[in-house]
Amino acid sequence: MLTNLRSGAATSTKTSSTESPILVADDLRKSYEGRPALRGLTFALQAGGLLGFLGPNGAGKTTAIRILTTVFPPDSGHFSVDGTSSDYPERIRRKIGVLPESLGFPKHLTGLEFLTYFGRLYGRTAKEAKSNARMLLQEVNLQDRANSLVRTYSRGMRQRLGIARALVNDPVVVFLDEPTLGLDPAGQHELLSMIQRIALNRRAGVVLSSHHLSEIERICDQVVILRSGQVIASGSVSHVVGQGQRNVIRIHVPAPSAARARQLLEALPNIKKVVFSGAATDWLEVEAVDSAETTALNGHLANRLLETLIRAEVPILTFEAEGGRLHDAFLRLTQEAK
Amino acid sequence: MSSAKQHVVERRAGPSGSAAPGWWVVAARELTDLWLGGKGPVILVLFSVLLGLVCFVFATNVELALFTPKELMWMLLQMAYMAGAVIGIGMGADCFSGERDRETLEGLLLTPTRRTQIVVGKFLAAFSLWPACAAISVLYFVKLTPDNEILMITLLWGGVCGTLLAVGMTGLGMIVSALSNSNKVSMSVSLAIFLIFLLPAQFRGAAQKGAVGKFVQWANPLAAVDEFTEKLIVNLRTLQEYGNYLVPPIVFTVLVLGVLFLIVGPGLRLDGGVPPLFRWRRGRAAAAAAAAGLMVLLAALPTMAAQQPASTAAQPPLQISISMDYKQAEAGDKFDFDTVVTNAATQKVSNVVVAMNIVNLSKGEAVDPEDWSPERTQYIEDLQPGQSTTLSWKVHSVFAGNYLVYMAVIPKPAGPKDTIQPVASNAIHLTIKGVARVNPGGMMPVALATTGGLSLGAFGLHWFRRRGIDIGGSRLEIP
Repeated sequence: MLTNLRSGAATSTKTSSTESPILVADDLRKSYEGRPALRGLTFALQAGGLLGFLGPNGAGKTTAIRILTTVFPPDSGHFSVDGTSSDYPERIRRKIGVLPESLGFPKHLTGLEFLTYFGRLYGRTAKEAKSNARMLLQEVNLQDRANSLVRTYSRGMRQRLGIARALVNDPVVVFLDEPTLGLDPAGQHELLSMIQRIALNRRAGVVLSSHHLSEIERICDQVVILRSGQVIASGSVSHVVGQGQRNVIRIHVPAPSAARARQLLEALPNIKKVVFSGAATDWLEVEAVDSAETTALNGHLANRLLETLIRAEVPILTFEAEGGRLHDAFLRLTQEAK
Repeated sequence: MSSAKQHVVERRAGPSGSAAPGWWVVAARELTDLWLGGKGPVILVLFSVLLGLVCFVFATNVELALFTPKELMWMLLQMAYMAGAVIGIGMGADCFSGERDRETLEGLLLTPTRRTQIVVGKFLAAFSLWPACAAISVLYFVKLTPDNEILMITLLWGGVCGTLLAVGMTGLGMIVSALSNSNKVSMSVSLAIFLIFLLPAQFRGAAQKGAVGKFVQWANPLAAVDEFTEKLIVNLRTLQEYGNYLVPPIVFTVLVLGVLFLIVGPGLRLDGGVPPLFRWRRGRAAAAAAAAGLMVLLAALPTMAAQQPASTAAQPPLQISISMDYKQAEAGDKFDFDTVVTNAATQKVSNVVVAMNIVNLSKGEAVDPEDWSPERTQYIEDLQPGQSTTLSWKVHSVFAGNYLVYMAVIPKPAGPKDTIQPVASNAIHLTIKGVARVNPGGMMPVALATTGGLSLGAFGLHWFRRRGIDIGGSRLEIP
């Protein structure tokens, strides 16, 4: 399933590695009153690429986005957007679109007026801005509510309007800070699909910050994991997942069979230890010795464990390789960095 | 290049046509929000109600009936420009901190519009209430005025001073707002600053005298505007005499606008706080230096004007005659007369003061001539032996009653241990008949019609705005 998701994302947002990157960050640093908030952020993003910022609260994700969107200047380091250096923030702002974490909306405006206003701030004439606003409302499926006051919009509609506002200048790079925060699952799914379409159809680079690891895993092809302002892992999602991987397989069996299962598994060769997972009496963690033949995702080891339990007629409720998902890699990497 | 990519490239080619400048786009949006969103019309209605109430009290209160119409004009003007200043500082204080609270500032700062243009646009919108308030005030002044001369003085200098205060206070509120992290802080600090401006007027009388006290009164733009407008409207003094009281509001306004547009504007930040003061470009530094130079020059004017020649002349006998024996007038009437001062001695006389005195015969008490004439005293520098000089005087009949107006010629004593004998003229017997003062029957229709008209206008704007909105949307969710 994991492989399918990854390949799906790769298909939808595949980028050409021969193109020069449209967003390059080089050793960006920022401190607030002597407390470091960002310590050396470096990455590159291709046109049409989707990059996810991950990290616990206070990791520096929003600071990174605010620096990259020229709201805050970095203490040191540089970045460029489509060849424009961060020394020219006004030029950068012409090339980027942003959905901030907390985007307020003027309560007296309709969706159409809101987008028209921002279009004009980007230098469009009133007529052009209005026509562009209608097109954007259609793109985010809000054309039927164009003349409603924004304050009557639901949370999901406001987020979609916020994305439309981020696209008002046909940006080269779009920054989305926690776009799915507070949305129901259907709303999250709809928004993520929209973000994928933006990257694909507009050939815009997308930088996405989120707490939802599954979102990043589902749509991003690159990820940067931050902790206390420091990059603790970065690269393609599969690379980062591999970084966080432990040689452990987790098996869920009925509680009465757990002790017997543990005994059987401990007796197998190349098994370092078998322990109960935390306080649970029905989850076993099987750790193999480190070798190329016994990695947790290696089919031979998994087959041998399954075969042993099946032969002993121990019911297997769940069988999974720990560290095979971004969620596991994130937890492991952020704990290691403590 | 694929067709999809071509399409993207075409779209990114940028907007066509001549777009409006950023400050205009921001100002237009803010003005629409202010005037169609409802806040502006509501403030105007409240302002009109305030003026209407004040006029009603003027017209009906027995105690206030002692004030002359021009005093009431000045009091109404004071009310208008003070309200304009409060509205200005309040609107300014909400500009940026309010957007921070509503989380709309970040979206604005993310656009390529220059920070200074955003500040200019917001300033124009915040200031727009004052011209509207001033226009409403004119209706009341026209109804209240005793004559066209007072009306013209009130409109001209009230307009100038009110505009200076409204501009300065709006800018001051915006500076506070730009530096404040929340609207509560911004509003509280702005209110505190405004109260500090009012504070010197609350000092004990003694504290308002002396060099320091007078300087504090003079340097305070609100107090200076009070003094200036009162002297010109109530006491019919001239611009030459009291023009130096315009210096503080001008300096205050120039200073505030300089700080707002040259320092705070370019350094406008998402999270408030003080912008980097020393990242000045040459233009800004030159503008700041010019503003500082202007301030120093304007501040030096009153000192220069205060310089008077010193002299130590002798004080021989003098004679004075007056061109009028009696005058019958109505309250509010003005009349002129002349006095002739003659040096009957054989030596030159210098530094002679001629002072007007008015005694109320009905009450048996002296009247302060300052309220009755722009020339309470006049000065004769030199008078050769046998020479005469004619002095002209204006008197404004303020209250009904029976009065004597006479002049005293007062030479300067030769030294600290010498004295002189003042010489008095014949008196003018002045009889003033009372006239109807402010007419409640005339004021109330203006107050009611203005307020009612504004309320209807506000409702009309609201209706006009709602007409273009899909109200059905509100069925879904009203957070």
